[in-house]
Amino acid sequence: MRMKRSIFSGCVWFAALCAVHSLAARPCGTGEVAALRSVPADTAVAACPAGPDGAPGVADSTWSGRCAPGVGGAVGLSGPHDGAPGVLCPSVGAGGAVPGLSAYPVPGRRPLDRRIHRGYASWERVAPTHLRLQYAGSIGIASAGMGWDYGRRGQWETELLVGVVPAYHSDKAKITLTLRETFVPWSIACGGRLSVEPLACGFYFSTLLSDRFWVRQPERYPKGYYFFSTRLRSYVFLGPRVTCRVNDRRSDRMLRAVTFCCECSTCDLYVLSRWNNRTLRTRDMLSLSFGVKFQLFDSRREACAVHGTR
Amino acid sequence: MNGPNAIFATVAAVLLFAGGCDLVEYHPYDTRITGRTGINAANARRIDEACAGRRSIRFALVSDTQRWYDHTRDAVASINSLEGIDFVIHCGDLSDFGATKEFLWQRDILEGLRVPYVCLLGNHDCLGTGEEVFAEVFGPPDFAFTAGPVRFVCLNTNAMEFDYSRPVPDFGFIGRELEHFPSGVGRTVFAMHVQPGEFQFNNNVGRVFEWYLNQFPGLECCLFGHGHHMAALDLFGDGVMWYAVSSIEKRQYLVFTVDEQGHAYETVDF
Repeated sequence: MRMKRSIFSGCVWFAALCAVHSLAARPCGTGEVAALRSVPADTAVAACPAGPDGAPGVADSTWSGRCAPGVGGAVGLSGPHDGAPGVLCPSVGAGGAVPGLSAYPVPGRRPLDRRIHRGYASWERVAPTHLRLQYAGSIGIASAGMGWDYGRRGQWETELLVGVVPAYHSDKAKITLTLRETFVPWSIACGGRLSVEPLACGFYFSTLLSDRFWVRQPERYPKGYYFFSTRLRSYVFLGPRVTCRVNDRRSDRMLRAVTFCCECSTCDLYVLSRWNNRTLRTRDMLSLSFGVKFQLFDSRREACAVHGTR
Repeated sequence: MNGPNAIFATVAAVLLFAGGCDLVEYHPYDTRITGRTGINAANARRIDEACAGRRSIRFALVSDTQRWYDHTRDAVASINSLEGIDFVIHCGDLSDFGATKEFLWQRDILEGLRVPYVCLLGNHDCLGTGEEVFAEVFGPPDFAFTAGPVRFVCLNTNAMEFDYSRPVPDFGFIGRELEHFPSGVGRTVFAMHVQPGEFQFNNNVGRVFEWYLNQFPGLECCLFGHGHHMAALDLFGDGVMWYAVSSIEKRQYLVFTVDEQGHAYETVDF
């Protein structure tokens, strides 16, 4: 019975996550994507300014998602996979990233911030945009999961992770399920492929999939005897990240970028324990974690770069 | 070393370094323990040796120190400043949530005591994986030790936390203690976290429990915590005194003296 309840609560979490993500992505997906789908390919390409050598501009399908002017004449269009006209094309020649940004100022964009949100149509909106692996962080020795980027500059991330806590001195290992929300306010481009995100912050909720832990105290206790949950933990975190963009000349590559994260977090129990206690040091309540985020993009999908105008 | 290998080596080095760092935690209930373990057994031996042949002993009784780390530290300093204390009994509830780190924080503070100490299992200590951490750091929830002329029997009485799935209190343990009572020891003191009559106790066996306790030679008194207040009462009306010690938040603890005339106690404010 308890196991069924665990599975049910897991499903509710996932459904809520999908709903939140779907709502967050809706303006982009139903607006700009649909509009670009409806126009012929050459019209979409013509929306980008011409390059310095007269080559037509392209809507670049790289992770940076910029609208770059044609450089060196290397222009191509992605083939429509479901009969709709293609609106994307492979990347331009070498060194096209930064000139594209400077040549085509996008409203609301920051000069060094290359992040951009990709919108997907229909059911593809719920497809994850990245995978994540994490070491420690109070949600298991190792955890893995998928996530979704959204927001005008892709500055919001929602992730669902599954972690493993080794048994150590308890009777068996435990599984955790974590729902994570991250806000990355700044991204600073450093050179051609590197960018630094000096501060990523957010919160996450983690539950233990074990019958020994409870969200609300069992009925055998008097009302309000234990005010807290042993099963559900809430955390806050912050830390820097470094993103390395994978060489964008191969636009059919699944992996677009790799982000290395180091985070410092604390949980509700430790904040309560530290409260009014000078004996405990601040570092006693902190926990470090190390993560890797793999930014994905499937070029077979019809997708478009949405230039921060929504 | 090429690029991917360098990245792999760097990540491996960082994780190896981080794994040994106390800033890395796998889960609040991960039961990953660093530092001293098996404390009750080791300290019981120290108490036994230190009090061997003595006709009188003096010990401090504290309880319910959960989340009051400053108060616990001050209590340790206060006990250290007293003369003639042989050992300290902690009547349980070292942790509030049963989280692993809570036990380690409390242990590290109690390690500051100049005299040996033993800890009992409280109801809060049973939450989550608390019982496993307690068993590793301090020892089994039922144990006994001898201090001079007195046998101390420390019991787990938190029946509600085990939902009657285990015998709490464990009459098997009590029976074995009675059967193998040390020769040359004439008196007995019982210590527990929850007293009979409280809802956490298995009150179905309250009277049986009382009967068993009275079978022990020279039952001197019974000690407990849990209620967060001081009390001295004849719980069953059988002439045996039951003493409750308050939570450490009240900045009080008890000091007991047991000698040939009987026992006496005093309240210490700090």
